[in-house]
Amino acid sequence: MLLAGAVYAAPAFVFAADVPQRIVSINLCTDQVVLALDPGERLAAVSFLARDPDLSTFWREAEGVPVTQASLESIMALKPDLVIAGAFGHSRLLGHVERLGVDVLRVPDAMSLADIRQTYLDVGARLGLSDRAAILVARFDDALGAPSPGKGRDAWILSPGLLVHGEGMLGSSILSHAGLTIAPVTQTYVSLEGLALTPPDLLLISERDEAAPSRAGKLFAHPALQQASKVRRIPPSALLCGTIETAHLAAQLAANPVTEPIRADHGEAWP
Amino acid sequence: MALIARGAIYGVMAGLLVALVVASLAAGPAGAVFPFGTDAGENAALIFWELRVPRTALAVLAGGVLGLAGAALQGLLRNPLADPGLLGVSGAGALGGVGALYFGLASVSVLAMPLAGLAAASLAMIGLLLLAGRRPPPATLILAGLAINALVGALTWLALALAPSPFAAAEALTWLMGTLDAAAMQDVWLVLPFACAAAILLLPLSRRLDALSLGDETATTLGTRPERVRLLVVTGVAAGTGAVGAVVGALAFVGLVVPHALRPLVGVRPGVLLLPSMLGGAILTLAADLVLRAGLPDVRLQLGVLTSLLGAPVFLWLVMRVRFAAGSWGQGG
Repeated sequence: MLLAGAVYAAPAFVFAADVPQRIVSINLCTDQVVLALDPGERLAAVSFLARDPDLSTFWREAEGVPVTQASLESIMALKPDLVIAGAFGHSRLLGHVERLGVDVLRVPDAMSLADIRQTYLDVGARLGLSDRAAILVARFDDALGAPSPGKGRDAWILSPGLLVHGEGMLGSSILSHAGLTIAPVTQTYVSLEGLALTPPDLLLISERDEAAPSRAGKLFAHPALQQASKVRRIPPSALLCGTIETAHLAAQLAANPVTEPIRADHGEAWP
Repeated sequence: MALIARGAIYGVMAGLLVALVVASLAAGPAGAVFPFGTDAGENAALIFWELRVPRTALAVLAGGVLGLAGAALQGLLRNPLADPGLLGVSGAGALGGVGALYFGLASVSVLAMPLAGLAAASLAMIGLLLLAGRRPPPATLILAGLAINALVGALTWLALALAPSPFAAAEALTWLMGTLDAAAMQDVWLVLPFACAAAILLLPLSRRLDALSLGDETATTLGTRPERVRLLVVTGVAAGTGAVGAVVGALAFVGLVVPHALRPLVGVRPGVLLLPSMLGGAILTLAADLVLRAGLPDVRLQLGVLTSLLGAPVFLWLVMRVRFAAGSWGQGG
């Protein structure tokens, strides 16, 4: 369905010389941006993580796109003319890619809700899809809604291993939009004891469901943590990368932080 | 070694253990908490009963089991290198726990983790005895142990890489080094019966292990059946270290270093080492965990790193003593 939509959308850009025709994304978060923009046949591959339903908002769309590992051989086999990667990591790999004459676009991870909008616009412009980027930003703002006034409650977002999402991270931007007070820490690991000593009103744990147990999940289930705060699960895909799902999560938390957020669909496909 | 001196050593060790238990309950990242009395906050009680009590209890159980298992294995195999950690038996327990936890068996039955650990640890012990034989020379034993340890370590990584959870692979280190950071009362109740079984099976073997140290034939004439002792040790060690490994991970060095450290104090007979090694294992593990929690609250470190850091210098000092004083305890019990 999406591919069909893309087929007739694509010709508008095919003849523009500086518009990439073979796009490869090797980072989960850049996958989300590219899949949302949907360049159709020009998208040669996304990373293999894009198909994981728990990590990737656009996993259904990724089913229709080839996937690749972040290795030179598998990337070059796709004959890309643009490789999109995150801001950090893979520096040797991307150095080789550039030496072989392929453009590399480094896209920093969104650290705030505002960053998500800007990323759509920046990547959209580079792919020749500025119109779609503008529509995505409008949909994003629509899903997000107005920021909530302060609720007088504090909340921590925890990732597996008790990593607190502190100030300057995407999670803190979500919490302030929802009117919740943020943990006064930078990104850090906490101990169960530290958590139980000054428990926040609300603990939002970024974890997939119990179908995939892990030791980190066991830590979340510890009675000390469960008794100290209200614990709610939020989907990792909404927090790992900035997507429309992040906007839905922020809106749900703004409306009612105590009910478990339902995983929102990411909106309509392109006409 | 005079009986009175040995009694004094037991007394000192028991006193040290009690002191460490009190310290472990009193200290932690949250500072001292007092769960008793009217002014105790709700969180103080929570921190005490849900975090410190289970963690302290699990450290004592795990350390006690590993110390006892180390002493029993060194006695049975008449080999100073026998240690559940070095030989891959603890690692096999961790492998069983990993298999049960990440592939959903642990949610079917809470007993799945310790039982899987026990099964894997039994397999490792049986494999070890088949590979190394009844009275293995140190080189054969260490090679067989290395092979089993490498195998169970690799299988643990593999299981974690194949596990459905995306965070599983990142947790490999906690299983390979051992950790108590998620200890809850449920873990204590899971390990406790297996630890008791290990103590009940191994502690009464004191005299028979002594007899066995004279050789299988001499032991038989003294009324000890070597096959039966072997079976009891294998069962006891596998039950204890399997359950501990499945819940805590492969805690390094405790089973090796504790009997060695105690030999100069209580004597070289394998039987006499069992009880003090159990106490010593609990002391070492609890002390390491206390350093970790109260001393380095902001450092994320596996418990096994600390037991090795505390245990290795003791071991090195013992090696130096043997090297320069030509003691006899290192020659094979």
